[in-house]
Amino acid sequence: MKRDMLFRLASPGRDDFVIWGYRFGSGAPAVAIIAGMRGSEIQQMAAAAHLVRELELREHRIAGGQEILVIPAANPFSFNVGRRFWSLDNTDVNRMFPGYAAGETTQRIARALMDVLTTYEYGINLTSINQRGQYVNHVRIHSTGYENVTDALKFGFRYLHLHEPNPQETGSLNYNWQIWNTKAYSLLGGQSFVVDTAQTDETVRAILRFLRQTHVLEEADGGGFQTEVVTDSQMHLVWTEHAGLWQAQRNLGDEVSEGEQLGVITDSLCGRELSTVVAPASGRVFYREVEPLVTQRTVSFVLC
Amino acid sequence: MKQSVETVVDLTLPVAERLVIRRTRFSAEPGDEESLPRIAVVTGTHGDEVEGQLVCAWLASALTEGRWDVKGIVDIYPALNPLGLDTITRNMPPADVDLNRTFDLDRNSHGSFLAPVTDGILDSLTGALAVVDVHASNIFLREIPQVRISQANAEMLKPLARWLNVEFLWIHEAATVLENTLAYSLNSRNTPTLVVEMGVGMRLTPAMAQDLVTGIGALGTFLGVLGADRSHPAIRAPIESDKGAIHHVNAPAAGLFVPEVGHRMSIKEGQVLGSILSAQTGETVARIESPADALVFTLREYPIVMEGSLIARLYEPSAIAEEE
Repeated sequence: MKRDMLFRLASPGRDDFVIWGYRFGSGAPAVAIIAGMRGSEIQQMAAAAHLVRELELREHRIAGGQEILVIPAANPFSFNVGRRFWSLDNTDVNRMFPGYAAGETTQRIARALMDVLTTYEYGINLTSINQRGQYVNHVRIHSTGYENVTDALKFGFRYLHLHEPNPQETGSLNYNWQIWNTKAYSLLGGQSFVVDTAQTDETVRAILRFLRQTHVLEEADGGGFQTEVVTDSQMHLVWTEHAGLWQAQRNLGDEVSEGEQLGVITDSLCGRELSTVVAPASGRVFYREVEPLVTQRTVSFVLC
Repeated sequence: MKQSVETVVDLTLPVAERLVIRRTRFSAEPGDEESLPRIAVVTGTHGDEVEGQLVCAWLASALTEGRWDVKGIVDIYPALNPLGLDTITRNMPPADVDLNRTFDLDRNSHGSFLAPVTDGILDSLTGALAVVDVHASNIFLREIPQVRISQANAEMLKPLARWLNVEFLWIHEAATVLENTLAYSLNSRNTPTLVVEMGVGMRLTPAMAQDLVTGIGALGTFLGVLGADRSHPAIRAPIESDKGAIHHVNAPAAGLFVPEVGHRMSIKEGQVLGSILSAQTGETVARIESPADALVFTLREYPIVMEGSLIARLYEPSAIAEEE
């Protein structure tokens, strides 16, 4: 293992902003794994850190002429002040790609990352969506016309979400990685600012499985799901009718039937039940709201 | 003239409160409101921008005091993001999402209550002859009063923008990431929408507000919504950016930026815009020079900078092409 300083930026009052990368094996840039572009992505950073340890133990099994790069924390400044976005101006590094070396600070960070990352055949971004609830672990690909679905099945997650990017997401790493010919995958799961060790372990196992199946890691392989590919239109969003105190009654991954009760909303002041949330279709819980207070028209569950 | 306060969006919040977005409507009386020509002024999309609050207040009081005869409808929306204004938060709490990047967003892409908010705003504004969307940059930058227009809409919007009594029209290239803004969504619905940027976040610049109220009145008069302005003001002809070049000046180093030029000043090539100092050692880390003879139309207001922080945007009248 070799630790490289990939980017450094001086701050007026803080320590320098530094992005560290961990390289395993040597030769052609095979797989890059990046996490923590936002300070809320602690679970993703934890998974990448765990992966660094696993790869350190397995370095002798990396195929000859192949290099793996892991960047566990692309945005240490935001982690250290407990903020999701860039510490000074609240901009999102993961909406600044492909970046601009002469531009604003987060554009420069994105450009520096892009310069490092675009040489790799595969790119894996451990990331999140700006939702307050919990997601099941899954792989997500932006549908750009360049997407590679076949290799995404090698993670062995239960779900692959093929997502139509919205205009904002054209500034994401996943989108731009694909445009620059890297086979790019986003791994999502868990909850912002929270670490679920079971989900972290599952993510690490999925990345190791992917590395074996792409023959970057020479190890016997096993396990994983037959991945189901779902599109945006196959997701059932379940909205709350009322605002109030929220109690989700089903867990991530649960199978539910059409009409089944998923949660209940009670009046925040007098405790009266205002409404229940029921499944509009049969499916499995892909996302659930976990915050105790919900606004009217909150997405309480996503089923697929 | 009839005046009423109307609710555009009404959603329940979790604890004994509603999220209410209201407009004040000034309309000719009597008349069928559906058939009356209408303009709208919206602001407060970003909770850290308050310049538009004064524009709304002074426009409303001028209408009430009869500065113009109201022949159609003038709608004033002072707070599209009332929770953000209350918390001095640019984004919309509690989701911390930029409201002005969520219009017409696919509902599968977000799970908060933003979709009914943005749909309610769009539905109520669609069909106006013009919408003036007032912004105040952010807390980092001070802006000359300007209208920003995407090249794709320049033909439709420039003739309207020239009435607004601003100093500058910035005609910029279309950007995909701006396709979820209020202005993009309304312009796509053939509701001409002019984005005004002026002043700085969290502060008021009264002279700019006064000029814009005059300009909104002139636009209303041009569109037949208002009668002639009884104060007979002159409307300034703005500089138009497509007749010159835009230069972006970014900080070459981190530190404390101390300007040596004023906002809205004309400066010479090589003139020092300002210095970046180290508060720790007193050392001058960098001196930043102007790349051209130009007008300073954006100037850094918040002094702490990192490498890359925007220091200034300059307009060079004699150059031809826009430079990034």
